[in-house]
Amino acid sequence: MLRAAQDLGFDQLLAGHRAAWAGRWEAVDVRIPDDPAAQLALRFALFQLWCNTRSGGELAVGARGLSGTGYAGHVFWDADVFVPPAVVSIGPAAAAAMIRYRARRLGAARAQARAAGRRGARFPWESAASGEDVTPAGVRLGGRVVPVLTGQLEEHVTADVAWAAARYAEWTGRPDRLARPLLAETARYWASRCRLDDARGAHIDGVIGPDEYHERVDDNAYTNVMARWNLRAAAGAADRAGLADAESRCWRDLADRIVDGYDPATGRYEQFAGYYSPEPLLVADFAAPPVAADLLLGRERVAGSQVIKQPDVLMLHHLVPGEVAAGSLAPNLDYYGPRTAHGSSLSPAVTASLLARAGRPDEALAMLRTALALDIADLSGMTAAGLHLANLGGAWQAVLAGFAGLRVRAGVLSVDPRLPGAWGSLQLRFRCLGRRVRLDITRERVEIAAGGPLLAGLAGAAAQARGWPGQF
Amino acid sequence: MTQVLAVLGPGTTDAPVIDTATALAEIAHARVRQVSLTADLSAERAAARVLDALHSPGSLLAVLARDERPRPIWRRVAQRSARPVVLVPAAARGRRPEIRRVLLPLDGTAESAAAVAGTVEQLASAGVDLVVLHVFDAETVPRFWDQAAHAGRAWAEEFLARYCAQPGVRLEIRTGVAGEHILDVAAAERADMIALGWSQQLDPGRARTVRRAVLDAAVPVMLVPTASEGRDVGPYRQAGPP
Repeated sequence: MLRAAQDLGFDQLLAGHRAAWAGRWEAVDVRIPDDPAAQLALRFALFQLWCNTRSGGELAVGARGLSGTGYAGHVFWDADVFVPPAVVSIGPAAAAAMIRYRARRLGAARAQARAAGRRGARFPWESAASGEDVTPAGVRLGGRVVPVLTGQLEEHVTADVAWAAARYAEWTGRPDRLARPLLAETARYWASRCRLDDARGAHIDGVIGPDEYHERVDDNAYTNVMARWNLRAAAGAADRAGLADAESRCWRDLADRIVDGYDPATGRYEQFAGYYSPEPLLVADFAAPPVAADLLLGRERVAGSQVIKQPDVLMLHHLVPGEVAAGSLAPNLDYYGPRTAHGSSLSPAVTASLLARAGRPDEALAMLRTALALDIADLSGMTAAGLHLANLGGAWQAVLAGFAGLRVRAGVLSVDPRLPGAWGSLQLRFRCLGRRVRLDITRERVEIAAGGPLLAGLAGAAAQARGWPGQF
Repeated sequence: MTQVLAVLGPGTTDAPVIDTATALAEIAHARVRQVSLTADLSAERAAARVLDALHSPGSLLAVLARDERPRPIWRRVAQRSARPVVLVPAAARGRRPEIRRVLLPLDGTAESAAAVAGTVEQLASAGVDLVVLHVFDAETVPRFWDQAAHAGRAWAEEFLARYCAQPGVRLEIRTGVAGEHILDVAAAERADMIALGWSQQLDPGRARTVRRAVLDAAVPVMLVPTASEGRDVGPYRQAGPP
């Protein structure tokens, strides 16, 4: 490779480099004329996502990518639900490589399930080369060694892996060849993991959800609903492949039995069984978020309170809105928002997306600014250890899924914009359903153009974009 | 040859002061010079005598008894000195005379880090084990702490890189009131000395951490003045780190 580069010479290499980057920015970009600071920060996010991913083979994207040694290069659920949904819209081949990383470690995941006395595949909380769990067992904190339980108990990552594969297939419109085995094996895991009560309700006991302030909880809403989605998605994939059988029918039946903590009277999901009992503490009672509440108040105090680290229930509205009750986003935002410390770098971007979806775009923009500043302004004091790739992916997603309201369902791209007051327009270029797509949103109209036939719609209305440009 | 001052006076238990001065002199490759204060001196004149000696060429720092009787002078000396002052409690008597481990509370500001930088370098080069302590409070607690097992390490590496970039230095993190944790951690780590940068202002409501550490520590406490450009400290101008 070095010899080839030497033969080409610097001038030709530079020309090729410039052409490649020009091609990237031609296909993917963001323009916010009224907010050049946000535009620049979002382009920084896109630039870093490109720099830390590549297509071909398999791709393990650690929490800090290639930008630093922080987090030992370990792969978390960041590489399933935060980075791939962004990367699939800017470089689908790189997203496919990320899915292949997980698919090629199904063997290790099966072994981990067997070791836990379960069937199917259980993916590790922290993953590296082998696919085995590499989560540290403990950490020295405040002068004592504290056990780290995420490796044992934060099991939702198994469903997250399946979700990423399914999301890739949905967004690209490609057959779910990668997704099907991941969906099936993870569904088998959940089927063996659930406990049935006397009334044949299905429960998942003793886990940690995305909110890591509360450990060893039962019926964490996020874990349960993602497991339910997983079972249903696997059954659906089996149907589409003509492989429906007794097992896949059991998956559907079990999915219908999984408890989710939903209360129709309030529209709220109880984050875990007994969540409403602890100290009803709001974050504003002790600090201005974002704040690492576990450091400030102590692990025991936050565990005994209703303060949560990051969106937990609300992640369901972000990832699987079809699995949660219609109209439940607002009551859960109203309830869990003031209880969320945002002590995780994963939190601000997702919250921005959800606030935009809930029709609160100005609050969403404030949260997006926090996400965009996280590395640029080194809000964590740890950017020297590497960029927070999940946050960068989440910020791009906040614009696509949050402010532009992009969704792909059954091969149709829908647009449902929510622009903040400070933005008169938003222009996006991205990849979707095998096409290059251009979206121009103003307060008066939405213009969509695609580099080929594309089914697209505005807020449920169907239309078709052909060639460049199309206009609604 | 450079010198470490051992300030002895009536009512002072000499041994802890001399032992501490000797240990510090060994680290600094200096000699010990005893400064004796007689009973007839007023507190102000006694302080002036110490400051004269401390600011003479070649003097690195002064070691004083914290609990001397009948008139403690450490406040007068420490507030006016441009060089470090080490305050030795009577309780230090009987402890080992060497200084093998030093606790360095740092508040995460460039000023406090700069104040002790020279001291840190000298202690490190002498093979003294250095433990940095940082105490989070509501103002300084990190905004994000993703995965404790990794965040602690990343945060510590960055903190030390910014404020105490010496090989082999350890960081201990606590949350709460700095003064309380300094004493607890000094005891837990079996520190032989605590070294603090300070602004030399003991007005009510200020220097709470320094007061607590100085008054309640069971080990010597070194107070290192922070930079004094533009601030009048009397005739004793900042002479730079020892």
